[in-house]
Amino acid sequence: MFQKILASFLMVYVLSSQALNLELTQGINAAIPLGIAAFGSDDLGHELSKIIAHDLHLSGQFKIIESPEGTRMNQWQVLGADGVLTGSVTLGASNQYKVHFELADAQAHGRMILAKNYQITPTQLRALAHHISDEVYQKLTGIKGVFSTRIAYILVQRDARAARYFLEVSDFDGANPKQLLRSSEPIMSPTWSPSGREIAYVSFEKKRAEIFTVSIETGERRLLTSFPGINGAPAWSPDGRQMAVVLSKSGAPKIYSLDLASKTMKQLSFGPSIDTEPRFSPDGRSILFTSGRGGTPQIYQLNLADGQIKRISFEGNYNAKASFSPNQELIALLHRKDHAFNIGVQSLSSGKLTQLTNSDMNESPSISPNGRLVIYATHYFGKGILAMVSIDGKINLRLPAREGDVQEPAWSPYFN
Amino acid sequence: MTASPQYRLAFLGSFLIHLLFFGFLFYEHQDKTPSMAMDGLRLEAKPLPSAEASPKEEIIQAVHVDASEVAHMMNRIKSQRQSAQRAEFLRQKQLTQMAEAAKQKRIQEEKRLEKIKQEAQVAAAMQERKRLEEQAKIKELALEKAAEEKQLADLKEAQKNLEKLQIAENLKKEEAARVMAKLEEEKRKAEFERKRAAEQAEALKNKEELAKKQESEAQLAALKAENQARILSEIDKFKSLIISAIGQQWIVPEEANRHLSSQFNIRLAPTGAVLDVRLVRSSGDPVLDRSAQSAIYKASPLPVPVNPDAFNVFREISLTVRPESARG
Repeated sequence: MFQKILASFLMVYVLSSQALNLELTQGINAAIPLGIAAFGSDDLGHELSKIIAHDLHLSGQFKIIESPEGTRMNQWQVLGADGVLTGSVTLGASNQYKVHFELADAQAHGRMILAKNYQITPTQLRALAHHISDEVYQKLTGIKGVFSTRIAYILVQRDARAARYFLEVSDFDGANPKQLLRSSEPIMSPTWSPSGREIAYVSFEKKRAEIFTVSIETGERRLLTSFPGINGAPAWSPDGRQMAVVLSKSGAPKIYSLDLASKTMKQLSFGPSIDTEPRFSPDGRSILFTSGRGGTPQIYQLNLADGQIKRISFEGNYNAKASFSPNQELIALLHRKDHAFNIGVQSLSSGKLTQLTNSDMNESPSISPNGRLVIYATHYFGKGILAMVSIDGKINLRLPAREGDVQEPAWSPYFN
Repeated sequence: MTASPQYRLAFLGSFLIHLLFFGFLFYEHQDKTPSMAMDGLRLEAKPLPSAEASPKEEIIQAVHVDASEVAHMMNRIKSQRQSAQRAEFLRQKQLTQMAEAAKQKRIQEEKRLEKIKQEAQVAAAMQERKRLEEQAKIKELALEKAAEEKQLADLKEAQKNLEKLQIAENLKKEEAARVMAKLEEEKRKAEFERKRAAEQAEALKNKEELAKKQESEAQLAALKAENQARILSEIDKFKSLIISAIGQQWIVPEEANRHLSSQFNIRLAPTGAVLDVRLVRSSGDPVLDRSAQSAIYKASPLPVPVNPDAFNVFREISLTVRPESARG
């Protein structure tokens, strides 16, 4: 009798949980459709949403669906948006602005994903827009956004008689340029310190090459090396305590490391060939560099612990200016196969090299701190400009041109 | 100039005769200094005693020499010599001719020998060819013989097989006859049995009716099972349709961990419309969870079977989402 009761009980239990089991293991690789409504009907609101829309579009991971303010959630759903960003800008007390944004899940009946409030001055509008882009980007992709980072570059203005050189820093999208240095002699190879507070560069102001650092905040300068011959291609170590430099004081250009505190130097590469363009790896254990020791310029990796040197690039007849992605899985480099210079990305594990650009006269690749975008210098109608390409090669955008030629971009680290 | 004994003798004789004559001449005429140069003779004239030396000493005994006699003698000597010379010349000619003849003879002899040798070679070659031909013939004969023997063996083999077949056929015939006999026996038995069965038929009628009833019930059950099977195959079809529909909407996050998985509970209306999506177990990555959830919503209405029994299976779905495979 008891067994019968138990059996019927079990049967009921089994019958009640009879949901069908399914498993999904394959999806698609596509841009996330994101609806962005204008943050209000005034200029400020439009400006804000425009900057955010541009940022997220530039990332290559979003398909922006724009729609006027007041669009209802089911309309967004029909438009195919996964998420919807709405917000408002209201003028508050003492000329401050109250900004509010909401990120909603259009498919899950408008369920809220993220909402935040801010209070800013009018000058901080652009910075806040970038910050909101970072927030939305990270929430929807899980990756940290780079929309609040900056770039440094060299601007050259030439006229019939002479040329003028400027070291400038701007927002990552080229907006808000600020001049750090100006010279009648060439300035080259700008590179950011790990803190983002200083930039090292090469200056020919004394009519010969010298390496300086300049503070972004104060403009204060510091001379690092001034040896006879070449002083070039400075690169900071990840802990900010050392600088790799290229000196030719002993004959051929070789790589040295300079201890910034004690000013002691140590030679890192040897031999009669040209070694240049050193770059520390994110874990600080090795240095990538360009060398002609194999006959043509190729990328090599120096292990700082045992001094072993390993060749990295094998495709093409010219490979240079290599730098690591933050996760140390990829290298961005300048790559030439036949005659055209293009930006390439090589996987360290598989050795496979993918070309990201497909034109000519491209150079100076620099990877973003989240490893997803590469900024580089190129030419457009004879002018030197900057452009950006996503690491999977899908999105490629030119930054707005300037008065003069822009070259040698360097992407800043995160500013926290 | 062959110095044969006859020649030498002739020469010596001639020389002496000349000497004699010269002696006569000089003895006679001392003031004369004859210088007769003869063919083939080299004589040095002896210095003559000078006539002035001793004109008064002695009276020379002069012998009268008849000039014509001398001339005659000289002619005779000349002709003798000439004939000797001619004889010599003839002899020489004869010798050369003999030598030539001997040479010709030798050449001819050599030719003859050569010819004989060649003929011998030809004969030897022909002999060799004959020998080879004979060998080949012998071989051919041997092959023919072997072929004949093989044929003979084959025939014998075929004969044997034929005999075997005949034996087998005979066996079969006997077997068939036996089987036939058996069948007839069984037929007889069966007839006997049938008679008995007919007697029992009445008793079994009731039982049969009962069995029929059971059979129809079984048929019904079979139909039901068939229907169920159809539903199951439909279910399989729609299962993959649903997974595919959601997968096509699922934008997999770039940095998602391939080993994580989210689990959702989905409620469907008979139209396939998604009524409710509930996250039952999070993967730990909210971005991954949300991406899957959006996909489920976006795929609504999901493909579901029309048959109510079949649809019942899909009323509630437990979906596990895992970004395992490479993104398409």
